Amino acid sequence: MLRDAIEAAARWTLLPVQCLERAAVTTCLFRTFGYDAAFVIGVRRTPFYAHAWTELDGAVLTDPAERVRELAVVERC
Amino acid sequence: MSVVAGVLAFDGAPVAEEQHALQAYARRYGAVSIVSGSGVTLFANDTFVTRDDAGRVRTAVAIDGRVDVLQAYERNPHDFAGRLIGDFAFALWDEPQRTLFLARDAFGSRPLYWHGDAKRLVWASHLAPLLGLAREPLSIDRDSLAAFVIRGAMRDRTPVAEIRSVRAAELCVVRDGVMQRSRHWSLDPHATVDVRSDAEAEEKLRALLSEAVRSMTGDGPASVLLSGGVDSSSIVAVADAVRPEPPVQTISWVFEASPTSDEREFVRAVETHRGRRGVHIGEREQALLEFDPEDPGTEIPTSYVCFARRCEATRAAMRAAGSRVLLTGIGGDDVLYGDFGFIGSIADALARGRVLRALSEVRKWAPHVGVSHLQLLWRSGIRPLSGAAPVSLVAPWWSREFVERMHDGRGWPSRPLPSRRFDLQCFEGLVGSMARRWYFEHDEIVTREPFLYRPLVEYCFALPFEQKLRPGATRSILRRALRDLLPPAILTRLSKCGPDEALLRAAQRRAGALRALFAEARVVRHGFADGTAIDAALTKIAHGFDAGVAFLLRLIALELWLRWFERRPLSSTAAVTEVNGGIACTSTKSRMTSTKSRPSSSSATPPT
Repeated sequence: MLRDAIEAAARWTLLPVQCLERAAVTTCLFRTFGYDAAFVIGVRRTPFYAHAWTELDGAVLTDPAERVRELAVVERC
Repeated sequence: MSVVAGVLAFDGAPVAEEQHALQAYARRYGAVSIVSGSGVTLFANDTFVTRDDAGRVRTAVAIDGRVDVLQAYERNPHDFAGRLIGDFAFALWDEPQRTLFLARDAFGSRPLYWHGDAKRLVWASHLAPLLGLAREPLSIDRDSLAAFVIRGAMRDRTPVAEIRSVRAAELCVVRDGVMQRSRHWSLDPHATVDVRSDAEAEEKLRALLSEAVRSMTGDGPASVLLSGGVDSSSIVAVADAVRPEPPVQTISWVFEASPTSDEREFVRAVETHRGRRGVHIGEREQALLEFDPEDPGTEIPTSYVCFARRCEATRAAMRAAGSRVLLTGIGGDDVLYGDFGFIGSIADALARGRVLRALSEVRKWAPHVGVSHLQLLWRSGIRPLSGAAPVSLVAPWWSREFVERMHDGRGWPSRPLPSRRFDLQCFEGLVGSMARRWYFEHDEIVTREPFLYRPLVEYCFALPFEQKLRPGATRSILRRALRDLLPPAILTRLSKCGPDEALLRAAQRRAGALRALFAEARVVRHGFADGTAIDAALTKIAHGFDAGVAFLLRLIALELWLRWFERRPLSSTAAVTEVNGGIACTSTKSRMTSTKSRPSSSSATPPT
């Protein structure tokens, strides 16, 4: 439900909502409601690509799992 | 490829120098002369002549293509070019009327250039022979180069100001030393199709696509360039349905070492579905970005120069299969809405004053487009209504002056509905991409695009927007029409991998050659690009950043073209200058010197 609410809010913003904003908001909201969500940043070197997402108990909340599988995690907090 | 060339002296005098030069050019492509006398000579691989009772030439046609020009002309000499359907460029000489007709097909599939002065007109399928025949100083057309590099669009211009091109869908009539130019075909922006049911529309589309494939392949061996996308897979599926024997050969450019460019999963899905494995040309064999700076093998600045080895491997595969015709899926994106970039129903509703309807459309589409409601309303509703030109992405290394030349100042046309304006823009882009494609054709190979079959284009253009794009399905009508022919993996796919990673890896491998190429860059010397920005981009690429690597191809193409232009053969009378405010180059040889000149017009002088 929280995830759906974030998606609904994102639909009404004027500026594009990138992965960073989405993951940060999702992590904060989940933590606010008592869940131990993790904010994760991963990268791929060639072609360079960086992505942020939220995990809860090892499950990716903000993306399909296969999208982040190939990325090397550089930050988890 | 077939070629067309010729010379016409307006006073009927012999034109030995031109004839000799064109003869040498035509011979290289196996073309022959078909008329000589009365000041006109035509060269072509395919020629047709009618004679009067005394055996004198009455009408002569030199053609690159497979349409029956002569029959159409004899039936209706006043309106014949617009009735021809297919890929063509031709020169038709009517001896009794002493009238010459030059024309190209609706999409400009075949090139045809001309150069004229007060005494004669010369034309050819290539620029090179015309450069050697020019009697006036030659000029680099900076406007035309900028438009071509970014949009592929040059209309009637070429990179050389004094050489003009017959435009796509144009008929040039030359009589008494005067050229009259008109369009023999154009899309009707108000055309509509009354669709009574989805099934009816799907059946019609399938019939037209089948007709296109059948007419473009004939009965002999044929190949299809299979990328794994919906368009090329559709061509393969339709070809198998309408001409199962001999089966078409599929050729796929695959990127096995670049995961984000790898489409083999979808290529295999098509191959498995039809029970036949195609030819895969791998990344190593393609040798992307391997070019010869001394001999780029092109006379227009097309990025195909970066794919020379891939093209050669494709031709070799076709030769091995005895195939001469290569079908591609080019055009599918443009005629059938290949992405969700523009939702015409939103802008159309706003244009009709139906605001609530527009907002309802925004709500319906936003989840599928992947942007917020407000962004979608701006992008597909308000912005198109404002008449602003579509945004073009421009690489950071181009100079400001060059970028300004890229845009011709035209916004969206004011009428009719926004979705139709978008279609017109797509169509123009399509003609541009056809212009960039010419380099691919060599030797005996001919490429054809079933999605550019004129009746199919006209039908798709007239279809209502909602037949082409629906929530969750780009090219909706194509997917529906071919649902029993396409494998599920293709029917349901919405995204497609581009070759960007493969190009990036190639640019990293070729870093030394690229730095050497731009060390004394002509693009910088001419003021087209900034050397520091190019250097920065190459450094980023070396570190794995994309840095506009796809745009880099166009920079390489322009650099190689400028080098080719420097070395081109010159006639004894030709000199070199540069128009549109660039560096003036004055030399009777091919080497350029740098002296400033003031801006001047780039318009070529048609014969008068």
